[in-house]
Amino acid sequence: MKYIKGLIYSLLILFASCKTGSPDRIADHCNINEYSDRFSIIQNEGFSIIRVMNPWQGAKDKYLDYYISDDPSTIPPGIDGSQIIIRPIASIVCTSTTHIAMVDTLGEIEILKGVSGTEFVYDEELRSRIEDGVVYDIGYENGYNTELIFSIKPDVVLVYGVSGESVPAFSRLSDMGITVLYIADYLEDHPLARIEWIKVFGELLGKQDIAERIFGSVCGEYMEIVEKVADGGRLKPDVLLGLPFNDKWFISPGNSYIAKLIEDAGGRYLWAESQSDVSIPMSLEAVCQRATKADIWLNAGVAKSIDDIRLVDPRLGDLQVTAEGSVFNNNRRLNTNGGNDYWESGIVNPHIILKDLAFIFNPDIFPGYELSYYTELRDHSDSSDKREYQE
Amino acid sequence: MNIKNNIKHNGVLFPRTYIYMVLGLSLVVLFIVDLLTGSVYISFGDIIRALSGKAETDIINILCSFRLPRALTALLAGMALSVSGLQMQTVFRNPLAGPYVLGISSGASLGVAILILGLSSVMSVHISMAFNSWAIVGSAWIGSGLVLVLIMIVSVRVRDIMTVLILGIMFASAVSALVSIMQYFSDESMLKSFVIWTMGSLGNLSWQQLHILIISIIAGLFISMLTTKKLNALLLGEDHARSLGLKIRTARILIFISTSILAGSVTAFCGPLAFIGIAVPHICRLIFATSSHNYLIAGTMMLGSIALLLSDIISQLPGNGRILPVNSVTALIGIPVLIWIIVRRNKFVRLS
Repeated sequence: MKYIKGLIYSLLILFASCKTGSPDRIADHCNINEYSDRFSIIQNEGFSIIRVMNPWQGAKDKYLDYYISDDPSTIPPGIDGSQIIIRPIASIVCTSTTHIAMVDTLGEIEILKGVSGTEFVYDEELRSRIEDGVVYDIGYENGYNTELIFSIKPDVVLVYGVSGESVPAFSRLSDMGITVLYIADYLEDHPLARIEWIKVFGELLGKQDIAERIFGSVCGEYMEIVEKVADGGRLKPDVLLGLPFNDKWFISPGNSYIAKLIEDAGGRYLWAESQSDVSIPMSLEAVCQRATKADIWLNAGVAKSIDDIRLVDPRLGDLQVTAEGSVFNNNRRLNTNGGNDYWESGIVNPHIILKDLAFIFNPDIFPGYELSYYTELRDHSDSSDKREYQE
Repeated sequence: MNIKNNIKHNGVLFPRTYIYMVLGLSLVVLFIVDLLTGSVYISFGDIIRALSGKAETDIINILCSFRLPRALTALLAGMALSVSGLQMQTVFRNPLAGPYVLGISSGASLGVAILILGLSSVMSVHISMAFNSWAIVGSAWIGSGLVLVLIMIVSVRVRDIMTVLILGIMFASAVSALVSIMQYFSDESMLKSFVIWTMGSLGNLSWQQLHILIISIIAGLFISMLTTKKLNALLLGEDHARSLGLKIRTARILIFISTSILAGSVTAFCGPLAFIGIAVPHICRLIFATSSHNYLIAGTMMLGSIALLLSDIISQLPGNGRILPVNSVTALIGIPVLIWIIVRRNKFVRLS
């Protein structure tokens, strides 16, 4: 008897932790996330709640609830229209390229009616739809065209909150009754937590099972690579990240998503010990000093060759890692306007990015592998010097 | 000589030779301290050993490729901006004038904005161009040069200097409006790069670029030395100066050219460093208790360098390799100093 009582209490505690905004409703089922702690999907009788926790940078103990259902009559009364999503969804406007990748992975690309920065879209099918004029450009962070968004009449606008609620365009859209759903994928520190957001997209598009399956298979492949690296990774290279602007170098902290990828791929990030929610501005001198022992340089901004790096600052060319040509950038897949697929489909392919990195760090683990997102930067100056000399 | 000066300009605290000596000494000390500050610990002994080539290669490397260019840039930029600020305050007879009153920084901003925010989104094939340091310098220079040409045309045609000032401010506002539009429509990473540029920096010059900066600043300062007498005459007002036989237009154009070379080059290489050019001439007038350019030009040069070296040292203080934007530091340390001096003396030394 005592045992049963204990069980009931623990169940009650479990339910309490998943409780919705109003205390009178008890959740039927709360899906437990494996990696992400920024959202939860709470199943109720006839409807479910997508709860987005701390949806923007710097948010503390803040959450937003969205009620989603196939049948409007199941939604509890008194919920504001801007928090309700009724399936099936006919149109979505999204503000981040990662949203495009999520929707595309679930096979619903034609549902996208507006995106931010159409010229930077990599996805070919969406590109052709943009050229056909059926997908609109809704503008950038500081200049969203709310009138255009309103005229598209989307069922939901997917946004990411850099500056939080302060974006007036979003609150205006909410006021007009348009559901503005915050997707906080980019705030996640773990690559698999980012892809876990596909569950939210699955819920939106009524493709929960497919989303679960995709998430499961990506996690499986990711873990397989992590194990292979642990078994066969002989080298543990020191890794430098990023590119300075002027004499300032914004360093990704050690608790960032890319630092996690480097660690899982068998590298040693030079700033692994640093902890911060945002990138840390450091002087070029300090970074170059630590970078003298770097073996691999990754994500060198817009650089397409080692010559580009020298043009940014000749002192970067003096680094041993540059001189040895061990610089790899994530810009193998660029569209004609410079839109980078790394920031688009990369979100749903953390296992491929991880494999790229693992191959860069330890080429012998994956013999014959070809890089997908990364590319080795070449040094043209040697050859051009020789040519001049011959002439 | 000094005693005579003291009698003539009552209110001076010390003989001017002493002031020059103190300034010169502070300049040397701060220059050395600037060489010592940074993320890596370097001792005074290391610098001495580096001079004789006996220090470790790492230390020599840091000194030669980071610390020395940065300290020299601070030295030169401080001189250039302060002198051009002094000239502008005199020419426009306005205590609020500064090196950027002609719109030089707005012009440079426009050039850099077109490069970073405009070109990179339209012609993204050359996106890496936007981060090429020479391209940034070049576009800033072209931008400020174009503004200069406009100002020249106006100042040759317009007789009244106040009209030139107002037109200069109008140009600057129009240009800033264009830059705002570009900022509004640009994506975040580019915007951030541009904002970092507007914050100014002293540590991104390569030796090649430093050579160019040195040559331009020597040229600019040489022209301003030539204008000393003209500036002194202009203190009396343009009409008086004219009656003394000063060719106003030639004077104006010479002064504008020197200001543009000085402020334009510094802005091209370091970004807009705003406050120093307005504050230093005032502080200098107070210290020297004179408005005669015979003393002020050399004085502002030294004081400007001191101010910028000090700002650079402070901007490195957070430690751990973290740095503050030098532009903000200059304003934050400059404003209290200026306020303190004004409150103590209860007034500005008049421009004339």
